[in-house]
Amino acid sequence: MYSANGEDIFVVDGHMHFWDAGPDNHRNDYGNAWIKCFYDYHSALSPADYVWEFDKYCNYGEEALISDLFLEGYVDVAVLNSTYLYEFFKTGFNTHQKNNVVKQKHPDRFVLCGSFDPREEEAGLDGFREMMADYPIGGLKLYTAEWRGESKGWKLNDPWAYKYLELAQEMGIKNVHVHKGPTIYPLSRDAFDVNDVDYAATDFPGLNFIVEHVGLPRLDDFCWIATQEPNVYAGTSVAMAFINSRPKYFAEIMANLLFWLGEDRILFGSDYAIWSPKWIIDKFMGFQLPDDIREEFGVELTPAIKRKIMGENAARLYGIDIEAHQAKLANDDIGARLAAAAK
Amino acid sequence: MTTLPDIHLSSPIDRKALLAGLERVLDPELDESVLSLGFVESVTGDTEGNVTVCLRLPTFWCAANFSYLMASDVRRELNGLQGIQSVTVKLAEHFASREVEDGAGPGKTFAEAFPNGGPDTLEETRQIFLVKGYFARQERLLRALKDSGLPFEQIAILRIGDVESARPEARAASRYLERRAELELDCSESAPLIVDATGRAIPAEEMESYYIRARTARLAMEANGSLCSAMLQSRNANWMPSSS
Repeated sequence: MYSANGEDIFVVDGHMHFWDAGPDNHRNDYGNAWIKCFYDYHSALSPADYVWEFDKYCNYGEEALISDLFLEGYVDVAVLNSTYLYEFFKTGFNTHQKNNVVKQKHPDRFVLCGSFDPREEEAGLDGFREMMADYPIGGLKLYTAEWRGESKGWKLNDPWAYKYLELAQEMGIKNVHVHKGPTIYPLSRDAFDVNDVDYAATDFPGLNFIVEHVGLPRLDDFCWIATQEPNVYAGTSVAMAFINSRPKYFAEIMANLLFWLGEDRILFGSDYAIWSPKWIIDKFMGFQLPDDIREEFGVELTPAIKRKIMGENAARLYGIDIEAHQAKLANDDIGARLAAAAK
Repeated sequence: MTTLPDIHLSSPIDRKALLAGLERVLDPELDESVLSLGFVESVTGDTEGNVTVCLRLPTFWCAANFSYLMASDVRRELNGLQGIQSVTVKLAEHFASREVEDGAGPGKTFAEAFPNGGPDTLEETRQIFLVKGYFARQERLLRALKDSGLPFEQIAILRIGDVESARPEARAASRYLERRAELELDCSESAPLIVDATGRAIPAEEMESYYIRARTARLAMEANGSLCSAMLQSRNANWMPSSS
């Protein structure tokens, strides 16, 4: 909960991680290169006070997570991504099995994302059904750039991806987070291509596709697709982190999203632990679009719109009744810790 | 802040021509020179005229296709320059260093260098980004014209020959026309100043919406470039403290 001027703002962090990337978990040098690259993102855009030591960054543990998100970071509900990367990490980077441990301790604080890999084809369908049955899966996170043997990625409109999306929809999934940011290998004409989202969003109008990192570096292509597909949403992690050292670009990105998608389809995400929600939210709540940008784009970033971006839009997608949920959160163990700290 | 490459050249190599060659190598995705982006870590050349250029990109994971294009372009731009006998391109600490070095240096096709799943050549990718860069450059020109007080209806009737009298920022105009020529669009004095990537003149009533789209394309490139610069600085400072 973020509070200012006597007003409480419900915060959903639409994109965060609980990873183990310590040396013991590296399968090979790629694991080390992966977390070093994440650390470069962390130190490139975080304010100096929020830059961690690398050792902590590799494996920050549960108490840091609870504190950074909920006790210090204003977050009410966090969408826990699952990213497997078994090719790089022995027990996975942040799997739904590991994420579920923290979800079980704080059930109302997390939306747990599951996943599928269409390259498992027929053989993976039963595994997907089991995951859905055995875990409290609230949404999916798909990572099309994941390596698997010789394959260096897949597309949302691959025939087997459609079979999994059909099954997911039958099993009650509504929200699909798609990582469309920095990816790695040249499987297609452009490794960052967002066009597959266009096909899937048209063919699955009952699913919401939250494009993480707003397709950066393909913000333009993402905006064209989102303008045509009402079930495509902007996940703003990475873009949000521009607010500290690149406020001009942040303002322009936000103005573009408001212009092309409108205020109801933009979701806050910190990408924790790449960046901590506290500083992003502090800066975002105090942020004003510069006058020249407001005039040129004809858009506003009012307090009411900020509330939508910070939590109301995500709450709507996930069917969270904000008032009822706040009452529950006030009474869980984290709610008790927050109340004790406020005394 | 651009980091200048570490340069060690022996005489027959013309240093100025070599730097001008590297200046022409663009990161296709950012539409900026690898030299000004700080991606050239070092250049060495021996007395025989054998040159080695080492690139270091912002991340270990930078896409292989763009890395390959940059490495190929270094070779293409430097080969044949005065005093240069051979060009070797190195790619420091990158997941595809070996494929890029063994492929782009000797001039293999992309499919030969990456037999598992890449396209045959990168020409389509290159073309997509030349066009994106065209929109970005055009937006800067349109913005300069707009800021100079010209309404969209008047911008729509400008010819290339009018560009000087309209006095937009000179660099915006020359960078735009340079890319327009690369796309093999009509660049004669009498041709309409603002045409789309197929050469169609933009009518007055479409000019504003055309500008709005170009604006998003320009922002995507610039914001990404800004992130890449921050990442390269961070990478150097985190893992090579002595050289930062």
